[in-house]
Amino acid sequence: MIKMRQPVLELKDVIKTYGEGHAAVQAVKKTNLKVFPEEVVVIMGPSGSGKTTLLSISGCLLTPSSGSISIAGQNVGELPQRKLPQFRLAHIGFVFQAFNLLAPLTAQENVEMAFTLAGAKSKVARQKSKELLTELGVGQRLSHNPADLSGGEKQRVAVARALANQPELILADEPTANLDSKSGHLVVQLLHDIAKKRGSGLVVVSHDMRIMDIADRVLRLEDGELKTPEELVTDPVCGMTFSHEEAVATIKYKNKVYHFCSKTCLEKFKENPEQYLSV
Amino acid sequence: MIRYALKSLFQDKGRLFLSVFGVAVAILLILFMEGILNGTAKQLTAYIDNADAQVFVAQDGVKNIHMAKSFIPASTEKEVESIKGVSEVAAINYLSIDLKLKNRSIFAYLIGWDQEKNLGGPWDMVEGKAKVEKDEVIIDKVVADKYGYKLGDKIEFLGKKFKIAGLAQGTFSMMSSTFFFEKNTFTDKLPPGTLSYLLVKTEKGAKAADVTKRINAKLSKAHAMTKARFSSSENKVTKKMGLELIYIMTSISIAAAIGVVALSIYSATLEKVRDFGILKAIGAGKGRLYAVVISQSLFSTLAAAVIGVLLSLGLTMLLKAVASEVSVIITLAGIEKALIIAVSVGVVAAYLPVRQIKNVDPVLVFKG
Repeated sequence: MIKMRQPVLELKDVIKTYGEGHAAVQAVKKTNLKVFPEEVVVIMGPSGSGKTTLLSISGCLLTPSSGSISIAGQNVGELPQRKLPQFRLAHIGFVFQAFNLLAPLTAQENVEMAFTLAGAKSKVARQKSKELLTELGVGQRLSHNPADLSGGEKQRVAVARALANQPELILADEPTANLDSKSGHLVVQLLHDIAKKRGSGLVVVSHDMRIMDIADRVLRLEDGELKTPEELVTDPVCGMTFSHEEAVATIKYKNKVYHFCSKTCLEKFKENPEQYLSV
Repeated sequence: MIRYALKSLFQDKGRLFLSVFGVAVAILLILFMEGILNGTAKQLTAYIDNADAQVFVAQDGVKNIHMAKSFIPASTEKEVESIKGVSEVAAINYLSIDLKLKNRSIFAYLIGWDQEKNLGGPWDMVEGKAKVEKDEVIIDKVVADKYGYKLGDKIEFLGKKFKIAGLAQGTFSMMSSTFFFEKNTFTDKLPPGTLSYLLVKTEKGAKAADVTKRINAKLSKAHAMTKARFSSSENKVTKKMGLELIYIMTSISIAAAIGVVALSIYSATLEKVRDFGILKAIGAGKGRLYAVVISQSLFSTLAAAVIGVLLSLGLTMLLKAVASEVSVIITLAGIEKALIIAVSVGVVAAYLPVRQIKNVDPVLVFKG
């Protein structure tokens, strides 16, 4: 018997247009996307491609101009606006580029907040937040304020807050952008493990090529359109991904074709190809 | 949420201090102004309150002594004496004048009382004689100290010089002072055959209200009031005179307090827009977010109210020690009013920040 899996996130013909008439800009063009439990979907794309808009719509923070969004089987459009915060709290976890921890609160209080907002008693919230932070490796930093934490620690606290209410969907916006290489790798691995272990669907929006390693699926968002990974190539010098057609130059090196976003990248590559291929 | 609200508030201690201090000063001003009015009213009714009379008789329509003129036929004294329940009646003659003492002006109540009776004279002597001869006067010790007079010195009243025979206390107020003379000293200044007020002592067991009714039933040109009613009426007149000023000062103080708290919470909210965006994004409803600014606003104003009340009480005690002539009475009702004002200020001051939060776009959390 084939068991049908229900997507944790489903975007159907979603369009988002800003402005009206001649000034109208379509930030997200007719987009369809399904993310399943335990699935890690990475969305890449240049600045201004509509990544934030897509993430905001997926997180019920922005209403699409048309189309529908379902999260954990619930058509979000059917929910009244006043119920959306509670819905987000129960079903979506956010991880942000800038961590977005509340500066006046300690690491533990930041996580407790998510529990108490969902209605947990303060004692329970304290205990659960402690357990969660310990599980994520920051148990020794409970009483520290965000200002006293390293970037990696901050992001772990933010991940703990996102996981507090065991959301079906985790949305991560550039989670490694403000982290050093090592911390970034650890956080990415952590998110991947969480998605697999807890059965959450994970959508990561990023420029960071390293994230592709953990992805079950990589999508590219370009001018508001989601494209399949087959069409994408990566510039080995700057790490930018783009479609074949967009490549300014190509070169064959050691029986493999490399694509470049600019002539500058091509020249740099020619100077010392091994430097870029060894990364 | 309340923890976040308070921790966030305490993050900028300088701003918190300034806003709390600003409101505390406003509360102090409100309480202190009212305290001064209460104290002054109390001082002004001191003569009535301390007289050993249970009923007062004044000209019909006259309900107080302060700033009033009362003339009743001299024969009234005998009429009242004959009424059932009356034990003793004493007439006083009363004038209010602007007195010059050593080139300084003082509003003076001149009271002439019957030396044969123990009604209507000074009630708390500090020094000298408790009764006076025709050319003598008893003044308040505060006046004596303030203007440099001592027993035996002479003061001129309405063209006549009087020797200071005694010093009393409790007869001075910030607005006026009472001077005591022999009853007939200034009868030439009153309409012939009249006196000012009658002080009536009731018989043991007789109710003042009943005696008052009987007096009123008998008199046509005069009107009797119980001591409590007369004192309350005097108090009201005094407060009415200062009430407008109190209203103005209170309104200014409230407006200033609202401004201070609103500005402080508004700027704090403005600084924390991102936090509110985060809270919105992770699932805090509007009610919870509003609770943050309202609790911050209420905390600031209530803390300010407590500090304002303590400052007022402290200042009152200090004044009592260094300037005993200034009477400030801060009542429990006044403190309750200050707390109610503080809560109201807190709620009103939260209005702008609440509006601001309402418009925070949670999408801003995605900005780096």
